[in-house]
This record gives sequence, C-alpha cells and structure tokens, in this order.
Amino acid sequence: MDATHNALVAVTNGGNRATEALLTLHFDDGGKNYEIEQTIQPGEQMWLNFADLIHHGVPDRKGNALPADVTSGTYDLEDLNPGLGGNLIEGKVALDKTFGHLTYGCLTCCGYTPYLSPGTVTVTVGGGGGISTFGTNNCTGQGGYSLNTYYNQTGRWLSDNISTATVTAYHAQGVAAGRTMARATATIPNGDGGVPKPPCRSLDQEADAPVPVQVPTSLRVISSQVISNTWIPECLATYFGIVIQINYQVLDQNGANLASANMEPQEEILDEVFDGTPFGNPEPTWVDVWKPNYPGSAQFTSASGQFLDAPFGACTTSPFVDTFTQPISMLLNGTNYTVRTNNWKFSSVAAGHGSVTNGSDISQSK
Amino acid sequence: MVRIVLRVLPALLLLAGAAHGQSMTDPYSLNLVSTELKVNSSGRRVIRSWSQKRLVELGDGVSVALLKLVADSDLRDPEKVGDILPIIRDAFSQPELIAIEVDKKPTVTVFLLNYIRQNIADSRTQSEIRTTMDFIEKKTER
Repeated sequence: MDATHNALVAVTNGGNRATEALLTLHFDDGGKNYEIEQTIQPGEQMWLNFADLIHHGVPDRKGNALPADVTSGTYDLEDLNPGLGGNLIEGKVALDKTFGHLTYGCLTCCGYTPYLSPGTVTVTVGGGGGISTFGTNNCTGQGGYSLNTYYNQTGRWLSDNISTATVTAYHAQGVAAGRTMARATATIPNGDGGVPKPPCRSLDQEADAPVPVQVPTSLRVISSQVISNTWIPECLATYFGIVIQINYQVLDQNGANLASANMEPQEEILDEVFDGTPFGNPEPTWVDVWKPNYPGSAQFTSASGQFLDAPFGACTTSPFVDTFTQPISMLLNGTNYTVRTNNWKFSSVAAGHGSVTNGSDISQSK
Repeated sequence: MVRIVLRVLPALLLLAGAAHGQSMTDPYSLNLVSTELKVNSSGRRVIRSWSQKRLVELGDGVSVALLKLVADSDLRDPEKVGDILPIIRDAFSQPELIAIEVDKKPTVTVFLLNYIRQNIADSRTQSEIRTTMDFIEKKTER
C-alpha cells in the first residue's frame, strides 16, 4: 500500500450460524502483528480497508495501531469458532489507482492435523491421567489449536488394550502394569491450504498417544547419611547407637523412576531380636514411614517419586545389637505394593558410637 | 482402693478405646506397648525410631494399654514402675502429634499414676512419679 495502491478485504460468513473471525496482519518482516476480531452473522461481511486503518491509526484488539510507514505485509484469517456452522469466505481486492489493475482471492481452508497432549500419557495402576486434543494448522505448521469443539461433537476414544488401561473422553485410567495406546478420532477439517475450497472439507482423523501404566516395584537408595541422635525424642547424643536419614526413589516394573506424588510410603517392623532376645513383630501391619517433625519428611512421595525415611535409628544406655526386617510398601489407590525388604542390623559397643547396615546398599557408622 | 480402680477402669477403657479408632486388630496398640515394656526392662533405656514415632501418637492411650498389659503386682514394684514411667513420658513428649483428640488429655494417665503413687513407698520412685506427672502436666497444659 502506498499513494497509488490500496487493499480491501471482505470476509463473508457463508454458514448458517454466527462466528468469530480473526484477521491477523503481519508486517515488519513478520516481526509485528495487527489483529482484528469481529463477530460475523450468517450472510454478513466484515470489511477492512487497510489504507484507512493506517491513515486513521485505528487500534487493533490489543490497542496497537498500524505504523504510518507500513506499505506491505501478509495476513491470515482464522475462524475462532470452527465447526459450529459458520463458514468464512474471504475476498481480497488489490487496487492499482494508476493503471486500474486489480486482483482478488478467496479464503483457503487450512485444516488441522490432530495430536494428543501429553504425547505420552503415563499413569499409575488405579490412577488416571488427563488427555487434551490439539491440532497443527496444515498451512502454517503451527500447533496448539484446541480441537475440543470437534472432539466434543464427534469424538470417539478407545484403548488398544483395556486390561492395561481404559481410555474415555480426555482421560486414561491405569488398570495393570504394561503399555497400551490411546486412540482418539473425530471429524476434523483436513484442508491443506493449497486451493480455495470453502466450506472446509472434513474427514475422520485419528490422534494416538502411548499409555504406559506404571506400578511401584522397587526402591533405589539415592543417599544415606548419619544425623544427630537427638532427632529421636529422648535419645541423647551420648547414648549408644546411631540415627540415619535415607532418601529413596520409587522405581516401576521396568526399573524406571516412578514420578508420582500419590504414593504413601509405609513400613512394617518384623522379627526383631534385641541382644539375642526375640521380640516378635513390633509393627505387624502397614504404618506410615513419615515423621511429621522431621524436615523433608512427608506423608506422600514427592512429585518425582522420592521420600525420606528419617529419623531412622536406635539408641540405648548400654551396648546392644538389634536386628529386624523392614518391609516397605507404597500405598497407591488403596493397594499396598511391597517395594523392598531391608534386613537391618544396628549395633553399638561404645557410648556416642554405633553402626547400621542392611547388608546390601546402606551402611553407616559413627 | 483396688476395688475402686476396678469399678472405674472399665468406663475409662471404654471411653478411650472407643475414641482411639486405630487398627481394628490392635485398637489399644498393645503390640507396640508390649514390645516397649520388654525392651525397656531392668532399668535399661532403649529408644528405637520406628516405635518412638508410634508412641508419641498415643498420648493417654498408652496408659490404657499399660493397664491391660501390666499386672497389679507389677504396679507396686519400684523396678517395674521405673521401666513404665519413661514409656508414659514418651507418649506425651510431642502432644501435637497425639493422633486422637481425647488422648491429648491425660485422664487415664493421671488416674494410673495416682494409683501407683499410693501403692509404692519407695521415695525415689515417688519422686520419679512426681516428675513424670509434672512433665505431663506441662506438656498438656493449654
């Protein structure tokens, strides 16, 4: 556009319901945008005269005006209510005031390629996960367009293996450890922008996403360290014994981290023998591992699937040897999954000293 | 005095037991307190984290368990009483962690300690009982 050229755009709603049209003008080599949004009734038109918009400094929907020195740019048109019955038809007229030349065009139908988000819907046994439907614009290659309108109207959802996970609208539910595929089909515009073809053609299109179902299976020791005896009430620093802190990571059936904040670490204390005297099972049923007053201790695992067992230890007023087993489980959706059994041995022969080992990956002494 | 105890205790036990609401298989935490009694014997003090964090949740419930576990003759034995008192103190050491609201008031515990005190002549044990009562009173005052 300049002193001898102008451009007019007419956007017509050729459908049978009102719709929202968004025309975005890109200028400064695409670095800046100018956006006009307007509701168009069936059979009505939205007219834009770019020369007038520039000349009068008309603000767009974000309050920005076109600079006076803009002479060229590109634009695209988007139906903000696709699939609801409105069909936008665009006519463009480029005027050459000197030679009387004009051109015109029509709205092309770009359509969408659907995809699911997240790309992998990881859930735990008995747990659920949300699924969103989006599309990639076939003309621009830009993703992030919600396709809920199409999926709400014509969506069909299924799982390849319902004994592993069920899939319903926007949701996957874990049933058993394993892996399946979520499939979501809807009738979605599929134009590629190559030729004008209003109204947009629609086809059944499917989006898929793998659904791994994780089950707590084992624990990995991230770290263990000696802490002060006094973290246990009534346990003096000068007593015989040792107190430690253990940081665990929950792993799934494949040895991968199980990143869920919904697991409740629990323990039993069984077969305790103190200085050669058997005391049976001090904790014969599952009880929480967490200790409310200890920093970092929590009733549930962290979002990454980690937890602290602390303060953990024993102290006495005389030398001792204490052995017992400690099964640990994750309470998840009402079921306890045993993930480890520690065979502990605590001992001390001198005041202020002690050692502890589970015979495998945890050993500390002081 | 024993007759009075026997008449009053069922009501207190019923009250505490009904409110406890813990494991259906061990509503009075007898397993936990029983192990504590065995480990802490003959004047030896043993503290284990796994039992300690359960003990601090009991509050007044510990005395209900003790009454169910300890024979009346042991409640007159200074050495046995010396083993019991630290367990009672542990149960009230962190009153904010006591699981059942009704167990934050040491009703049964005060009753039990008064009973023991009236049946023991040993001055050192009398003093330990007094210290324990002061500790509990201080921990549970609002």
